[in-house]
Amino acid sequence: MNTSSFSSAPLPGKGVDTAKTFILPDKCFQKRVGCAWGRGNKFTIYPRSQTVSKTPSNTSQDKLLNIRQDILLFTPILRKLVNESNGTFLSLQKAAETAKVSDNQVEFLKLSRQFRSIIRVCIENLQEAASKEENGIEKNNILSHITIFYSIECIWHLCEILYIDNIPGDIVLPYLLEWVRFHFPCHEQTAAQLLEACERGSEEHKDYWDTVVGMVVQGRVDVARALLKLHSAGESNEFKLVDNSLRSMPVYSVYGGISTGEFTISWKHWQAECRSKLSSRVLASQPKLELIMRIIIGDYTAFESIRNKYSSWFDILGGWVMFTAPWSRRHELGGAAAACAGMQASPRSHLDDMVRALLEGDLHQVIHEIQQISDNGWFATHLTDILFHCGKLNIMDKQQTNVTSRLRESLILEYGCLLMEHKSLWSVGLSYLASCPPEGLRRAELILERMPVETEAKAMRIIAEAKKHGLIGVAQSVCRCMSARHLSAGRLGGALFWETLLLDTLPLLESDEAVFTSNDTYEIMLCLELRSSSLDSEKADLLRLALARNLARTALAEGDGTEEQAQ
Amino acid sequence: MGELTATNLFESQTIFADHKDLIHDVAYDFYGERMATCSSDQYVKVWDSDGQGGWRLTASWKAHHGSVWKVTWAHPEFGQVIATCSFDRTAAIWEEVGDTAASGSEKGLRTWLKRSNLVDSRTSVTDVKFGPKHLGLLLVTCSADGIIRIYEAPDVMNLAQWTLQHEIPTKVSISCLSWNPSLSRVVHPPMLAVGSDEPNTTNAAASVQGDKTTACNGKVFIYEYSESSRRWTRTDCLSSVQEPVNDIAFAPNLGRSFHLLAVATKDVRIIKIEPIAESAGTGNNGSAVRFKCEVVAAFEEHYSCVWRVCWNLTGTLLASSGDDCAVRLWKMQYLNQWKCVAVFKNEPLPGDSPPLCRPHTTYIRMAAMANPSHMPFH
Repeated sequence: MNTSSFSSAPLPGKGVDTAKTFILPDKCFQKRVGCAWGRGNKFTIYPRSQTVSKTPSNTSQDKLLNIRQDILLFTPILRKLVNESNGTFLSLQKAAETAKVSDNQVEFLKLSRQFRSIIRVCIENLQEAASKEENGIEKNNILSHITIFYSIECIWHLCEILYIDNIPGDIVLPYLLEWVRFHFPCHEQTAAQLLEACERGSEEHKDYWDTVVGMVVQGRVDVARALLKLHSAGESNEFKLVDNSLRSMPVYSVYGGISTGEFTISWKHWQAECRSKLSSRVLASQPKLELIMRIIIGDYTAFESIRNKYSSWFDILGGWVMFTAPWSRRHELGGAAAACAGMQASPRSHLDDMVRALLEGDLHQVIHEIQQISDNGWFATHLTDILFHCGKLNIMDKQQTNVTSRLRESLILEYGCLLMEHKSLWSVGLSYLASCPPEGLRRAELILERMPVETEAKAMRIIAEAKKHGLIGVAQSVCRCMSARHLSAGRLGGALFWETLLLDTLPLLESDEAVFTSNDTYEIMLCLELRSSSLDSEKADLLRLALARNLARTALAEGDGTEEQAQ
Repeated sequence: MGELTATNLFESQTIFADHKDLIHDVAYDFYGERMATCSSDQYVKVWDSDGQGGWRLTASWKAHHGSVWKVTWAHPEFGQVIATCSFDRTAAIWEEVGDTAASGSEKGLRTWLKRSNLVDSRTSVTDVKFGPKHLGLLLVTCSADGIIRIYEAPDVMNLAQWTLQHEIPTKVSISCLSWNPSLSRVVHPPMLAVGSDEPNTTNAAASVQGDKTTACNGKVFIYEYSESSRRWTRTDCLSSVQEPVNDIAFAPNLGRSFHLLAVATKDVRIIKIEPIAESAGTGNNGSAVRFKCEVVAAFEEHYSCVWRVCWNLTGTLLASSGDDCAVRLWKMQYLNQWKCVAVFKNEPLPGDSPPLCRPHTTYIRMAAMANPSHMPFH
């Protein structure tokens, strides 16, 4: 469980320090400016003055500047990511419902992996697009997208290991090594080449020793041993001694039949033996073998000396844990992270900060950091959601009130609203908003009724989606606006088309099973009274009668139901 | 590892409005697909989105005999209708005629007809706003002599007929007003907030007839409509705002029990207005306090007079602009604190970029000022 208090809250008035400043082009405005919001992320800046001007001002005063946010997720190639992750998100909400009555961790893990495979497919698509792209700027854009999603997958994977996966005995090492090997493959190709060639005297290869050491640090002990055998002096006593030390290293397995306590004792015994071999100076003639021995006894200076061979400290994290505390449980990795990160003074990257926070178990910081990624909140939203459902998120504010669900909801709402601005992703956005009632539906209402309606088909789709989520008011508003549009165009027929929707409700009102709730019925009544002039009085009366009858029976039925629910 | 946050950017597009004098207001229609501008050149212009991010001028006409202060769109349910108000002491209702559904590309300029001229004011009409559509087709105006007027079109199909329903004297100059957009008529009665640009002197203290509260030096007043008395009554005066007010805007309500009001005064303020449950049956004058008002944010970063405040559609972002020639975006964090997330301003040094000469330009990415800390929009 992660508990952290919200300490980074800015004091009122201090917030500007963190805000990014953008330069208005062309020196547009010299004095007062005004602003007006359009839809979604668009707004307009205009020059403005309150005073009555006697003389016409200079021409720079008549420019308007439209500003909009550049939304990465709206790139066509990322469409698949948005759509597929939506499916997984919805499955997760269902799984979370089930989890209320029974443990559903296995399902959560499955869905977490599904998210990661969606990201990987996305990265593959981006890589393919990058290889085909000839425009330099476009290519750079795609490459930066790859960086973003690569980092996301890397963090998600580690998060999955630390918080979602079910790890036997909670011993994290094998999983951590897997993470390092997967995301920071180093020397793997050289090792494969050398082993395939299988030639004695492989030390002639310029990367031979780096590769052997790299395999040890990644915990691929068998590969390291096989490589050592390819050395021309592989049969010498020194090599045999190192090989023996590597071979005899105890490896913990939860199914191995020994307790962690027993394992710890035998492992410490093994390391003590290695240490005594090293101090006997038998390896003095072979400094590289000596380095390997120093690494496997967990000598900090040995790790420090190889650190500059790697681009980041993540590469050696697995090795460090393996040779200092292989029994580490998953929430005991903060110290190892600090040790590895401290081996070289290098500028901290954003990914560094995220991995550090994650290993230290500070999920609140992790979420804060991933919100800075320019993926428009895709990652923060989905990761926070899954961690929340797994019960692993516990964020407190200054008053020690649990605000986890508020954080999750605010991220989902924001993400949903963002997607609703897109001309074809809006229904995806709607499904996110609908998962956060009541505020999500209130926001959906505002956005839906303002969706530009270019065609009748679009109007029908909006009405259908609105009805699906019980937003009857939106459906009616869209109908009325379409009516108004047809009327003003002088197409009475079209407007009546929309009026017949009212009459269409007649058979539904008279059906055996009540289709409309009492609230729906009220709304239709309202509609009818607003538009009664366009129906002839006989039809209107007929509809009124049907509405009254439907209201009576639904009110009765619902009266029973709501009382029961209220208990 | 590349920069993960580099692509969090904004794009901008310049439109040459070709007004012959200062622009006073820009208003988007309900869908954000049309834009109306008004200016001291007495003209109103309507711009339509071309669907590809560009804007096309579709109408331009001389609307008044004085500076046009504000322009506002009616709900599309009532057709394509705008209202304007002017220094010439009138407000006007305009309707677009002809087939508005046809895409504009094959058509030339559209025709807007003046449906009604509201001439009740004896001074400059400073603001005009259509009411929330669930109240019918309502229009409110305010004027420099401090009179709020509420008009209604009894027949929504006849925009020529407007009846003056209410005339509310405030005795202070009123510069701006905002309707409370709350959809729930049951929970919240129809509500208006008005702001005064009267200079801050104690003599200007408002003492309005029928106002039971003691003299209040505030510059923002809340009016509510009572169904039982069929009157608009001043139910509060926000004493926390003492300086002249230039603009005022209610945030979308989103089903909350309280209202958020943004105020452009010497700083940017966000005020939480929470109705207090009334003790049984005493009505408005039974309890002295109708609302619990709390200033939830006061931002002084403009270091100057703030001219405009404007909410995005869902009320999650507030844009403010001031005399410092900068626009700032404020965002509510999940723990209800407000935070500046972006600033837009001119280059600090005189730049020599040549003015663009095309009437419409495409969106270009905006440069960010060097700033070590990064803060994304979202």
